[in-house]
Amino acid sequence: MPINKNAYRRYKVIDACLRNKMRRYPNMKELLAALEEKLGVNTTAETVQKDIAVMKMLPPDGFDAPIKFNRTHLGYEYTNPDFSINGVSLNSYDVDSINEAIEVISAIGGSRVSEKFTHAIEKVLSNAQELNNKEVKRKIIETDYISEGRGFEHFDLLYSACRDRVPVSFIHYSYSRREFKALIIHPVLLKEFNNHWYVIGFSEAHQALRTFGLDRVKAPEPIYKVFQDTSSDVIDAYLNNVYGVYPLPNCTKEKITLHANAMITNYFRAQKIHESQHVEMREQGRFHHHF
Amino acid sequence: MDKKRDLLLQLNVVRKPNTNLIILRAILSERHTRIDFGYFATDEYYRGGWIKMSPDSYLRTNSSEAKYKLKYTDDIPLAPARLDFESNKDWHYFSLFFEPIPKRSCKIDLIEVENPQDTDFNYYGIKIDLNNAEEIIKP
Repeated sequence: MPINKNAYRRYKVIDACLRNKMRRYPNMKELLAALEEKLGVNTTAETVQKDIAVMKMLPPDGFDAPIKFNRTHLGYEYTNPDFSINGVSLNSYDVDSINEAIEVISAIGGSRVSEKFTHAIEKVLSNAQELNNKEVKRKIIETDYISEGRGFEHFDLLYSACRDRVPVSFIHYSYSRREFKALIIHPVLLKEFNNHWYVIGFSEAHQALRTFGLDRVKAPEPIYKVFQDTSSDVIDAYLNNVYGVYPLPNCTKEKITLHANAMITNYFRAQKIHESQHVEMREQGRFHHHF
Repeated sequence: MDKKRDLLLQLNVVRKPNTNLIILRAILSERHTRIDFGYFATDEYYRGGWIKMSPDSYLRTNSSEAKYKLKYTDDIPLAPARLDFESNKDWHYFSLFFEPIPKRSCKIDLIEVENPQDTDFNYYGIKIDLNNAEEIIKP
């Protein structure tokens, strides 16, 4: 017998109540209150009892839910605390944790990870929607990220190309040379620097690793071609001795020293600007920062 | 040659005397022949001038008299509408979609105007060499 939509919504609310570790052993009165709060309709105790009976039935009629009335606590419980009528068993802690993670990801650039992430996570959370309907969203974290950067619409395609090792043809425009070029790259890495995203890969035209700003990439097309892979060692060597994303061509590594007073040194110490940075204290409160 | 495959050719062909228009790629599919262009504004106009495409533009190959008409464009208006630049440092990428040419190696001409001036987007003898074509992975 198929489960009708209203009944299924009630089952989900009952399921959420039984999995709520902050309020264990809900009694009938609490279940009815939760149903009214979540679904906005009055439900009778008789209906809830029938719902519980159906939930206890074996699939496909029910969910084989291990619901039991606990006589000590005078409320209902799942005898298997990990049980959920949904395939993914999320309790209120799980949902809260996921929501917190989403908030952090959104703040540090959720939009950069594209809508695909949001859709996927919404799918997971839809099963726990009753636990997730906090209507007032107050911003807790803010970064200096500015959304709607040009070229970010290609992030998904380039990410997939890096992951699946697929060569990509695209149009590139060089701001400095004022030059368009159709290029084929074998992308290996997406990198962010100063709120700009870059794709790094072996460029057939240059016969070397190159970095391309996503804001200057147009019309990327993945193509069938043998992928020219680049090892992690080569990528590390390409990026390690660089500030930013563009290595200076034909230049060797150089030692750089910045002189700073004690006050400015606080900032350097608080946030390194390069992995190689180390500080050396000199006379009279002066510091040298070596890179 | 499998007709259903979409073939991509990297062209990077600059024409003369005006070198600020470049044909970047050609994509040959069952549905259309797409030509990708890059254009950057020049000092000729204080604000960079404008671009537009004649709706009567067409492709022709060196192997027949057939004209492959412009079907639609992406990011360039059809005349008399035009895209006005804001500065002489602007740059613009756009694509033209023509009726599909046969998938075989040939040379093509892009004709915007029959008796062109230097500023018209005519291109002659674009080499389509399918030996250098890449197949696009369709979504």
